[in-house]
Amino acid sequence: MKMSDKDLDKLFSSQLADMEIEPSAAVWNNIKRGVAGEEVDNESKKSIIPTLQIAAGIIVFVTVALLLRPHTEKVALRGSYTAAIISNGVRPSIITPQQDAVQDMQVQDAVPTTAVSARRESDNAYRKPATTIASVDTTQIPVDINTNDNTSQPQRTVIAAVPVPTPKSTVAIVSTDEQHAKPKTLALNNAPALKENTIAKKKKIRSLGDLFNVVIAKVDKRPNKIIQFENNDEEEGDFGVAGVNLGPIQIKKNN
Amino acid sequence: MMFLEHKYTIDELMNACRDGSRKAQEGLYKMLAPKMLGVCMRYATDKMEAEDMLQNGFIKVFNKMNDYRGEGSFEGWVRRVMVHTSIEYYRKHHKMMQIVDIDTPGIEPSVDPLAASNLGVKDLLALIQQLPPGYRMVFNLYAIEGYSHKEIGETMGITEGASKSQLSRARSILKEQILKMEGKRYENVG
Repeated sequence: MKMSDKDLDKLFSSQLADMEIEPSAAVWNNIKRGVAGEEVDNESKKSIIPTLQIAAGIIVFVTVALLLRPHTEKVALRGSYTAAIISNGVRPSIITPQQDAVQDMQVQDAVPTTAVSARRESDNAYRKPATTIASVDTTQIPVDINTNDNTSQPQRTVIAAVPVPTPKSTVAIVSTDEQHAKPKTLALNNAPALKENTIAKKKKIRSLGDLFNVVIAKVDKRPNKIIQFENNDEEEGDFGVAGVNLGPIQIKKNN
Repeated sequence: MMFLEHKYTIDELMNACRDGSRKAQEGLYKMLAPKMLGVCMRYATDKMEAEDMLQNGFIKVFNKMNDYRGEGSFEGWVRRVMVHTSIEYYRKHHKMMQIVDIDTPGIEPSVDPLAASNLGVKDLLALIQQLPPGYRMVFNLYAIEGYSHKEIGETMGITEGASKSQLSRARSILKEQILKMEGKRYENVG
């Protein structure tokens, strides 16, 4: 005799439909925790999540703001310019940091003066070396000033190179001397630096690292950029990180 | 302890549960848990899995107590919650349930009804638990819970045809297994 599908269903149904098995004691404890925990968890999650989101948002905003903060150079308000010592009723000439050194010399040459000097006591001489003329106190320079009562004779000016504490910018100052036929002598110690700058600007972008460095330099004005890439001309397409500046964490490759 | 010392009806416990009484919940659980674990055991592969289903099912029962509107018995409602929780459990843990087997069953094995009647509850439970999850669900729903193929399709998210096919395949496997069990028994006797 063959067992039909209905018989099979009946066999299982009759035996298993009302089957009872005692669960382990841990199940009720889990249910208790589950019923209570769902309510508590839902409420606590609702109250904590917005607070965490706001706190995280503030932290991210502050971090990004600190990293992308533009670094503008500080303008020193202290310091003063001393006016030139003028004799013979000639118009004064004041050397300012913004004027080009050569222009200053031309002005001084055109106007015969006994002695023109300017002193700047500001720290800006160190901050803007390319446009600053570091002048020297006349008391410190061995200047030979021939003050002649006869004003009809034209006086000759001689420029002497003087070492100045500032390493990048040094410009000579004026004195008069009859022994020197050619009145103009100018020493610009920062001339090589200027040359290097112009060469660097004209340098072509040769690698992807260069391109990134240029873009980063436009955004990040700090001396140590947020990230700098190596410039390997020989290995094209292969560039590594040369330095990273994350505020308190600064890593820079020596080579 | 009050609920354990005095016998309360399901309706009394149910009303107390609606008021949030933890003691009433415990009383209701103790009253229904063995039966409901029996239901879950048929849908699970072992007792541990069945207890997980039971636990999830009772949490739903206590949280959705107000959804029961007195239509049919409360025990029947709890049983339906357990069945749906078990199917949900398998949907989460066994994606193979979605696969529809279109294989046609082979030759029907011939099983002696008298020999099959000797099988005990443990044997039959073991046979069901060995079925692939999809077959097990369909066989349980159709043969034991009394669902139609349409209801099974809606509950499990499959077509009626797939339900019929899986039921047929499940029956075939069960018959094969019963035959194997009988053969082993005769070997042991011999």
